[in-house]
Amino acid sequence: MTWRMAWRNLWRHRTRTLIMTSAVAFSYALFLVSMGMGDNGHAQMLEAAAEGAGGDVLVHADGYWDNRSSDLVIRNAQTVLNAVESAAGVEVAIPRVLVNGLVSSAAGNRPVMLQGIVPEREIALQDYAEDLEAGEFLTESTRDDPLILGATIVEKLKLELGDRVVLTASDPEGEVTRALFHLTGIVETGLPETDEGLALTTLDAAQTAVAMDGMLTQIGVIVADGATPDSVAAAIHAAADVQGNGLEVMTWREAIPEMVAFIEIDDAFLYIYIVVIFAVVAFAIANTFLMAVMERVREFGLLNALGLRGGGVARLLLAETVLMTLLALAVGFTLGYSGHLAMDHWGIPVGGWGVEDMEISGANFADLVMRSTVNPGKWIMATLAVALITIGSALYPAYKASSLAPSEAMRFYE
Amino acid sequence: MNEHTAPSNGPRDGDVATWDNGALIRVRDLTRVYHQGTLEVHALRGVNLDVGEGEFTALSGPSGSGKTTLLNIIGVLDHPTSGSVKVDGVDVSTMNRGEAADFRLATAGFIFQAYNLVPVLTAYENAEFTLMLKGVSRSERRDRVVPLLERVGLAGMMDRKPHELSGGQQQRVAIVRALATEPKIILADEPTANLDSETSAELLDLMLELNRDLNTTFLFSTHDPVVIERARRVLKLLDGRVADSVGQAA
Amino acid sequence: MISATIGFRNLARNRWRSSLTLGGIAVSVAFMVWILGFMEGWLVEMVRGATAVETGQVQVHTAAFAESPRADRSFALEPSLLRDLRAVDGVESVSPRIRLFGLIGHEEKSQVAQIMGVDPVLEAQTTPITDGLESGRWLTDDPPPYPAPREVVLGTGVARQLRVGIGDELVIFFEAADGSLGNDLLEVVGIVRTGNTAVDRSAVYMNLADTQFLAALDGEIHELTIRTKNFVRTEQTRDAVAAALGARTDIPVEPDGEDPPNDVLVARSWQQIMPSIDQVLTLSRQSYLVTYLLIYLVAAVGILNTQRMSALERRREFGVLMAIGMRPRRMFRMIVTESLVLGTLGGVLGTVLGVAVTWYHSVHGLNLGIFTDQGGFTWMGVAFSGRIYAILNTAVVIQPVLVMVFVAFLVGLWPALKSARIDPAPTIAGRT
Repeated sequence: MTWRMAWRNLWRHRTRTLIMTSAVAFSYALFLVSMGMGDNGHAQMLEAAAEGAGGDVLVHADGYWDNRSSDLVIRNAQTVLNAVESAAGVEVAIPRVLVNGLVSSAAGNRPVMLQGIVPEREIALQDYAEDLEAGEFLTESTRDDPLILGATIVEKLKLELGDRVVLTASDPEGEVTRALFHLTGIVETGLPETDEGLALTTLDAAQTAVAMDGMLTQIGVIVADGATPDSVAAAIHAAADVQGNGLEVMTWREAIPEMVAFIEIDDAFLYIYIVVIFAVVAFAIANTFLMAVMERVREFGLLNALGLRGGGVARLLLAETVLMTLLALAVGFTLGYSGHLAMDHWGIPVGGWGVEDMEISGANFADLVMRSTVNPGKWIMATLAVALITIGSALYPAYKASSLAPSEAMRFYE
Repeated sequence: MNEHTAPSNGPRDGDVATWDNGALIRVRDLTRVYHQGTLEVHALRGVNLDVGEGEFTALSGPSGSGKTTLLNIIGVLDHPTSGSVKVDGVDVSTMNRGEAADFRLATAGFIFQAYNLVPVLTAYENAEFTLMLKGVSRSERRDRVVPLLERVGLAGMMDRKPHELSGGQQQRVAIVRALATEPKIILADEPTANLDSETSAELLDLMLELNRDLNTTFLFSTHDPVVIERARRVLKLLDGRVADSVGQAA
Repeated sequence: MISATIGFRNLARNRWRSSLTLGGIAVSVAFMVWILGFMEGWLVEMVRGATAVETGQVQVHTAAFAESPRADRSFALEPSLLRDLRAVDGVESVSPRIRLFGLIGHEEKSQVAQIMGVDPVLEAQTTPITDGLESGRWLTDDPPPYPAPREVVLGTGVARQLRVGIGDELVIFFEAADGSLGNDLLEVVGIVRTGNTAVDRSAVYMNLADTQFLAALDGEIHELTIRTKNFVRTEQTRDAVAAALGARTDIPVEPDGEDPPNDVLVARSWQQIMPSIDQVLTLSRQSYLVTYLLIYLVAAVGILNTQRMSALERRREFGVLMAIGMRPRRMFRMIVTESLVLGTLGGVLGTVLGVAVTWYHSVHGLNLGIFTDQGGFTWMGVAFSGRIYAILNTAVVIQPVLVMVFVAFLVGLWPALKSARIDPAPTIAGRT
């Protein structure tokens, strides 16, 4: 009986019901969309961070990561690589040779970090071939000394495809060596750090150039679904051929603590932001419901005078509130979820605002596209919180309505 | 009914002797049809009426007889379906909203049965509201409103908010507000509907006094016998037509 | 004026409703003040970190060097040059530099380094390099003569990678301007941590005279780094510098793709030298819009709702006002005024609250350590760690409340329009 009367009351005061539900629904939807965008940004940062570090887990000779010294190399490469690959939770192990050196042409020289890679494995982390502007990628080249350079280096060194390029660097024994490469490809991404610093060759060619046959600088590991970087790092660390072999095993979080710091600080600000949005939403919703109920209280003063008892009035009020809340949540969720889908589908590219370079803790976020992610736990919490505010804000006036004398009720809330 | 068969011009209804010597309000063949869904409600079915300057006229009749509609059309709160209304020589039936507002401000004061006053303004502020709309200066407003408020017996209550005044006192504020701009006509829709009979009588006596002293024309609707017995002239409406006219035009 | 009076009194009359609406507005405005204060803090710190040590605010190079740096692309440091420049309006101090890439080695390790030949006194005047000293001391103006090893100050990253400390000896190699190979023995006298990652990871500071000798560039330099008196007037100062030197303000583009000439000087602002920093600055300020949008949209719903509800409740009152002669336009203005009163009051309240919190954080800073135990992070090549200080400037204080008043105005239009269209007769009769 109460429920049917409440439902009819909502229909009878259509304008008011519309104002109330639209306000709550809209605030709630905005809240959901804000959360979706924040969570998505967070997830993308984690991904970009692991990519920037070179893998979820990294294996080097002990001390390499801190010193980047050319003498700190993984000497028995094949054994270690096999051991890493067979550790539990490893999806792909990516071997690399990293060389700090100068590339020179007749026009000058540029400092680079040359990466000797196995393209078939590297692709699990990132696909350099995608950004190839001219020439051919490592997998297509028939030369045994191929070199792919960033477009800016090529331009500054006034190079053309097929040109000879000299690399000067130290080998693991500390000898300064020079090696000859041929420019086979040019990569252009629009990101300055890549275009100005990228130098790629095959693992074999790099090993030959700096006398590192059978040696590696780094093994990047991508962990399988369901495994965590920490568990995989522990598993690799425990492997027989890794332990006591003078190697360091680190997760990307350990490798780039600045990035972790940034993500944590960003998370903290996101949290503050969400709390503030919620506070503003709470004010709006509490107000809306208080208004609706207060207005009803005045009307109910009349009902009360006609003999409807206080408890009955309060029950009717609460029933109306619950119905309105459910209606608002349903509409709001539909709106919010649509917003999420739209945001996720189209996205807002950060680079679209004319930014080429957005360095944060060593990773470039300029190619980030803001999208949206649903975190079901958070969305459920948000929904419950909104429901609590709406119903909570009706309790006080409902209580008042049940205890006021009719004459007072008509003047209440003035 | 004779108004349908009578010639199209000239007085046809009750006592309309004042028409020829320049009635203040002249209503001719007035009809008003409301549409409620598919239902047509004929609120006025052809009203002819003349009110002269300084008259104190009551429109009586049961609810639904068209009293409020007639007052609203004369005050340009509503538009006729057909027929013409001239007030002070001006055709009011075709005014737009802005013109209507200016017309009311200049020529007609309104008093409603309740909720006449702005709840957050004091009695004095409510009373001077129309003068403010006219752009009258603060000192002149004071000069005009204070004597009127004193005259209606609200001297000590000027700073009270409406909810601190009784129903009768609120209506007096509304009367002062209507009179403050010195309009030619005051239109009052059931001004005593929410008052007890003693207060109603007092209010009517006050209105009569003001009518006599200021020569302001009063046209009001009522079905209150206390009011009707004090009116100088009573027009009885029934089913959207003037059924009877009692008393004397001024 | 009566509109504002009615507006204020209606707010006072509906205490609950008004305080909740004002609360929502105030929280939004306070948060915007706070977040803008912090963003300004980050941005200023970022720009300062990126420019202060490395580029200053204005730099002068030859056009050829600006396009593509090479040892031989230098220009003569006439004795009058520095004196003339210092007389230019807006110039605080000037530091002449040699700037080259070279290889620096210790025992078996070597590393590519950015070699900066500087005048110890002028460099310390122009940049905050000496604030960054982590250990040891800065270069001396009057170093011991040969054959004593030459003094060198290393970026902290360079020192760590070479595993050297104060007093250790290093060898340096680079290609001199004439194509010969310069090399010398150095002694580490100081290690700097500036927070600028480019400097900390690869910079090697030496005496200007030593590098000029090694690079076969006697009396020549590669760049002039200028600190301006007023950070905001960088462009004007650049133009004045260019005028004084007869220099261009941009790198000339050669039609055939050749490098621009070496006999033309170019004066550029930090925005030109590091466009990416400028872009990020612009982007970050644009991103305020998104923050405004999301926060104020919710607040706007609150105001809109209050005003619609208020208009709904008071429709009979509005009907009476129109019946006694108020024009619809005036009614419209009255209701918009009420929204403005609401927005202004809430906005001022929020500004007071926001300024109080932001002021605290601008004096005491916000300890980033409470959010992370990983130390700091880097942004656009600038290290952030420890405390970050908010900045309270006019824009930070004024903008959020102004935007809120504007939002309140926009939001007030709809209920005002609806109320101005009230049909008085049925409204007064209670038939709507």
